[in-house]
Amino acid sequence: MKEFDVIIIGAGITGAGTARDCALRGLKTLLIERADIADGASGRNHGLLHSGARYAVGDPESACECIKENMILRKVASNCVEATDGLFISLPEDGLEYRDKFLKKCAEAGIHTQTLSPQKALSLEPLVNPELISAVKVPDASVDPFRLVSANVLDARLHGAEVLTQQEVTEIIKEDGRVKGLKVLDKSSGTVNTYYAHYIVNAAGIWGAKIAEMAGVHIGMLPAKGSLLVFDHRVTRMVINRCRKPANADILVPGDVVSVLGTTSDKVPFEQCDDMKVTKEEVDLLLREGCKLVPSLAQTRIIRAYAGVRPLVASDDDPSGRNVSRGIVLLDHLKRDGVDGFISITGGKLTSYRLMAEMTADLLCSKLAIKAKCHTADTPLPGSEKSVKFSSVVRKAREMKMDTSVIEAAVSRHGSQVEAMDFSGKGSELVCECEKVCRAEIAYAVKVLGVKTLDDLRRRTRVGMGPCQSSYCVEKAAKALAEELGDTSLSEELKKDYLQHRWKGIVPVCRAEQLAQAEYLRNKYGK
Amino acid sequence: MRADVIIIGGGQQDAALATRLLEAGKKVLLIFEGRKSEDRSREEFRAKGGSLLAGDKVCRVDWAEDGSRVEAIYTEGLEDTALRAEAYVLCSGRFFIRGLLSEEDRVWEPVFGVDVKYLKDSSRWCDPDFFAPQPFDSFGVIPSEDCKALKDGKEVENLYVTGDILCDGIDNTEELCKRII
Ligand SMILES: Cc1cc2nc3c(=O)[nH]c(=O)nc-3n(C[C@H](O)[C@H](O)[C@H](O)COP(=O)(O)OP(=O)(O)OC[C@H]3O[C@@H](n4cnc5c(N)ncnc54)[C@H](O)[C@@H]3O)c2cc1C
Repeated sequence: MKEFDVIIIGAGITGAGTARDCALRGLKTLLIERADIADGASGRNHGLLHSGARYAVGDPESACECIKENMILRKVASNCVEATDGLFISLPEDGLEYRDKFLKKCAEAGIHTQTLSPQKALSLEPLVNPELISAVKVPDASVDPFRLVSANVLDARLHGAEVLTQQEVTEIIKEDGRVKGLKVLDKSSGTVNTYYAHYIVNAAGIWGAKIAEMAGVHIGMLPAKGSLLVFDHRVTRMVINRCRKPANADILVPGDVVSVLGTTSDKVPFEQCDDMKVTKEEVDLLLREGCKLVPSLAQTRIIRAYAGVRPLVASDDDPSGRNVSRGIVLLDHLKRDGVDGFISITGGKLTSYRLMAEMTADLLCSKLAIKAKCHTADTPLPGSEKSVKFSSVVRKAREMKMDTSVIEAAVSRHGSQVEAMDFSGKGSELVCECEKVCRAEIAYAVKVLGVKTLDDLRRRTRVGMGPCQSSYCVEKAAKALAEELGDTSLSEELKKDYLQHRWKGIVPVCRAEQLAQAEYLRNKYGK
Repeated sequence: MRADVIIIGGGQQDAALATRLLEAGKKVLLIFEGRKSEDRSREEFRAKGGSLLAGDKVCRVDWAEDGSRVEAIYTEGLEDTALRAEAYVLCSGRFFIRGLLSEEDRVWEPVFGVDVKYLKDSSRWCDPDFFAPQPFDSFGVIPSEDCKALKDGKEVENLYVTGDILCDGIDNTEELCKRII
């Protein structure tokens, strides 16, 4: 029987970050995920590394957290973050009253701002609504959430943590009122395994409510669905926000080669959380509001729509459940419910995951009487270490006369981990043209990152996420992955699963140019 | 310029049809947007003496006053040159090659604006199963029994329609050739 210091449930950013922090502090750590890493909210968000400006007026505490974490992640996760900066634009109907308050509150939170004239703003971002009356520049940034989760999971493993994916926690074992372990269903084999630990951390996002029930405690959670649209290129260089009380569809984030507009916010029943569909009404609303930020979005091709769930946590002191806690929620269930061995961490944001992990690991260490300190604020994640550019692999690849942009793309995704990739021979073959993913990267993802499906591969390499949305590369990618998995007969199934999965994001926006593309995709693969 | 038949092409069968009409002794002009090098059957049509207007696009249509006939068409490349024919054949393909266009809740045929069958509510255009028949596959131009296009429900006397632009996967090639030849 294997016993761990800590078992963490859920490999979203919170669980991945917590696993890394625990592993760095020397705890014997197990991370369990029912699907794949970043399959929950962590892979379905906006990809905005908040400067905190959005929260400055309404939630100063979150604003302070965000700006601090933003500055930290730029350093320790540099290969996941693109320092785009952000603009908060005021339109005539917004007036300047909010902006003035906004400037004051940003200053209080320590968020650097620079007020720009409309002319200056338009010279920096020619496509923003020309009717703007003011713009404020802030240190928002764009973050690749998949890469961030993947880097945390990888580093946890490099420091001794065990990671299980496709394994669902189905039961929590309690003895004498104390949580001792859990039962886990292995989805590929159908077997149920038992794991024991001194502490179990519930980092299951919105599904944390269910995990809590398993442990016999209640967390009042309200699922809030947020929908987003992906446009086929980078429409702006900076993140564009509306300078007003946060509302629907008021952020446009450039990410990699595309732009993401969002979000909506609607309470949904728990049953919907496992299979969220973006509705026509949401698409219309996003587009209508988004065009106020950047009018040309009306003519820009929408390539997908997707939705995630924010786990809103009802305040413990409000039995009606109407008051929602802001910010990070760390629950010590011994103190709160008299159940020992069980901790829940939720709320917060992608941007504040590191702090959430630190708080959780601090609590665990104090309970385990371990003195180890947190080092995540100054230890770079794999891929963000300096000196990467000069790594031997890059040099070797140059000597081999490989297209250096392919190597650079791999470096930007995996940093110094490219040293574990073999670019010789077949390795240099390009599989995804849009995102420049080559065979060596796929081989690495299978061997080191535990990739089993094309969707797993997409989350770790961005394969198929560019403008062509895999219509050109899916065949090639499926073949390459099947070969790396050691079973070429898998290729057809891998391809079909992937196409079906991606179709879900196309359906809500299947009109105009996207209908033309969808028809092409279907004629090529669907008949 | 005058022909017996002008085919507004782009769709998959355009050149095959053009060649067939040519071989039946018609003077045929085939207009399509793409480059000619893309398709061998179009080259073949030209080699046999057909007239080809590649990389060009119909931009204007002269209608008879009562809208019952097409009098002439004009292309972007030839500007003010009226192209006239006994019969016009619309064979401009589906969405991917812009024979059909769409936006939320609307599908239309951009050259002549003829009647198109589709579902009004765009949230019903797709099946959630990628591999199932898709509702949008059945959208397309509605042909009359005489293989002609309709405009506001009325048959256009000299405008035929054929190929994959038709709704419900209708294949009226044989019927159409009989009527034109
Ligand atoms: C629409 C939207 C946009 C957002 N935009 C931003 C943004 O731009 N910037 C930002 O900072 N934050 C943003 N957020 C917030 C951010 O995405 C979330 O705060 C964060 O991703 C939560 O991560 P998590 O790990 O706690 O939860 P999740 O990512 O949901 O992870 C929970 C994991 O637990 C797993 N799990 C569930 N049940 C079980 C079980 N029984 N056994 C094993 N595993 C299980 C799930 O599969 C899942 O992978 C956004 C959120 C949404 C919804």
